[in-house]
Parts: sequence; C-alpha cells; structure tokens
Amino acid sequence: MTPPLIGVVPFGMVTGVVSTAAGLTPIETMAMSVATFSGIVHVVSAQLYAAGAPLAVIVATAAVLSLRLVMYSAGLAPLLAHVPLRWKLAVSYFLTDHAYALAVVEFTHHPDRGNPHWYIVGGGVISWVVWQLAVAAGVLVGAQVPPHWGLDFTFALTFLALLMAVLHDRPGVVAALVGGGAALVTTYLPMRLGLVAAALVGIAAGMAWQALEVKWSGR
Amino acid sequence: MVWAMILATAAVTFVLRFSFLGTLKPHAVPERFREALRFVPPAVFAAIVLPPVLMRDDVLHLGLDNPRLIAALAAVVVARLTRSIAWTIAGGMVALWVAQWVLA
Repeated sequence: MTPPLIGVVPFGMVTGVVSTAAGLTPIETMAMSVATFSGIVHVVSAQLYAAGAPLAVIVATAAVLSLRLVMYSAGLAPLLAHVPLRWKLAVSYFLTDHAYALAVVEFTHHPDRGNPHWYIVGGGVISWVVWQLAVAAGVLVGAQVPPHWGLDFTFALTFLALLMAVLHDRPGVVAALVGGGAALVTTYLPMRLGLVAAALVGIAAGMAWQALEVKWSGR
Repeated sequence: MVWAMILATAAVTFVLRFSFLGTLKPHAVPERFREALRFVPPAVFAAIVLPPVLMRDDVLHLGLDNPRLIAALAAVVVARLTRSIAWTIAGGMVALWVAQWVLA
C-alpha cells in the first residue's frame, strides 16, 4: 500500500457520513472515532450494530478487520524493541495503515534513524487531528444530505480503491475473488457472521493458492 | 449497548495493535499464521466491497441495469488511472448518480 493512496481526509469524512447513516449520534460517532481510531472498524461495527448483530459478532468482526494491524505490529516490533512501555502503548494507539506505510518508507530510506517512536507518534498525532476533523465534517455533511444520494456507497468505493492497491500477486487476487465471492453467499448466515466467514475463506484460498504455486515451481 | 460496542471494539483493536509491539514474540506465533496475515487485506477489502455493489435487499444484481455495479466499474478505472482514494470516490459517486438518473 503506498502512502499517496491512503486518503485520510476523504476516508474520515466517509466514516462520519456512514456512521451517522447507521444511526449513531454525533457524540457516539466521535467517541467511537477516538476510541477505535480505525475507520474500517468504526464503520463496519456501526453498520452491524444498526443491523442488530449481537455484541460478540461485532467484536469478532472487528478482530478480523484488525488482523492486518497484527502484521504491522510485527513489522515495527524489532525497531521499537528497546523503547519504554509507555511509548509502545502510544505507538500502538496510533498504528494505522497510514502510519505503517509512512514508517516503512521512512525507515527503509533511513535505517539508522534514531528515536523511531518519536517519528511514528509525531506523525500519528498529526493524522489523528486531521482524521477527527474529517470525521466531524462527515457527521455534519451526513446530517444534511438525504439518504437517496447514496453517500453510504462511498465506503465501498473507499475500499475498492484500497483493494486495487493491495492486489499485486496472484495468491492475493485469489484471496480477494474467493473472499468477495464468499461474502455474497454468506449474507444469508445468521447473526451477521458473513464478513468473518468470508474473510476466513478468502484467506484460506490465498494460502492454498500460494502453496500450489510453490508446489508447481518445485517440479 | 452502543457504548459497550464502542468500548469492546476499541479494546480488541488496541490489543491487536499492541500484540507484537507489547508482549508477543515473533517465534511464539506459528509461521502459518504470519503467512495468513498477508491475505487479510485483499480478502477483507473484497468482502467489504462486493456485497454493497452486487446485492440489493439480499438479491444478486449482476446486470448492467444495476447502477452500483456501473459506478464500481467506473471507480475501478479511476483507481487505475489516478491511484487516489479521493478521485476514486468522486468518480464512483458521479457515475452512480448518472447511472441512477439514466436508469430511472
């Protein structure tokens, strides 16, 4: 994922709009935005909540959505092994797609850079402020625009752009095709478990395809 | 209930961010799990995108009389050309409104 593709402002506004459309009050939307600092967890959880999903399913879905953050956490851990715990907690709170993408670029070009935690937290504070303002702007817009404009579709378009950015090899395309296809079938699952099930099926398909490619190339 | 949802989703998201930065050691996690993480973004993003594009009221709409499908195809083209989220959203929404107007 390249930094220019991660539009903090439009995605923040979309989050505010869709959260409002899902029925959260402005205060609830801002509280959720500050608490999670994750647009995808915020919007999908709000939509599941509006659809009456049980809390356990919402939490399980949030966990699957946030699994990629585990990947980022593992990526940054060696760099930050020696910083104090309070800085690790701060870095964790600010760890987003955007922050990770910027950190990877920075530390690839400047591997000897001292105090990497200052860089990540500093950038995190800036994008946090921009993000919360964008969400607040989205709340204001969302309250004004009638539903038939279909502004909730901006969320799908945001992730369509992100999807295009992460598709760069065949196993990844297989994971996307199977995960997306499974999501169409699993909308019939009870308790809105569809997204969790579809994501797991897609991940398994990507892994299986990669294993097959390794097997074929080994011949 | 909405506040329980906010606190619970924030907690699970924070714990996963903190995982390796905090206590988890890389060797404590099976290799297969780390391989699987690579496929989370494409699988999750596609699972989020396809249902709102192709389904309406729990029914599949694969024809070109589906304005959201037309909008998504236009957005794919814009994403390819501009590599920008803002332009992808703008292009997709304009295509959606035009398609809705033409098909209405």
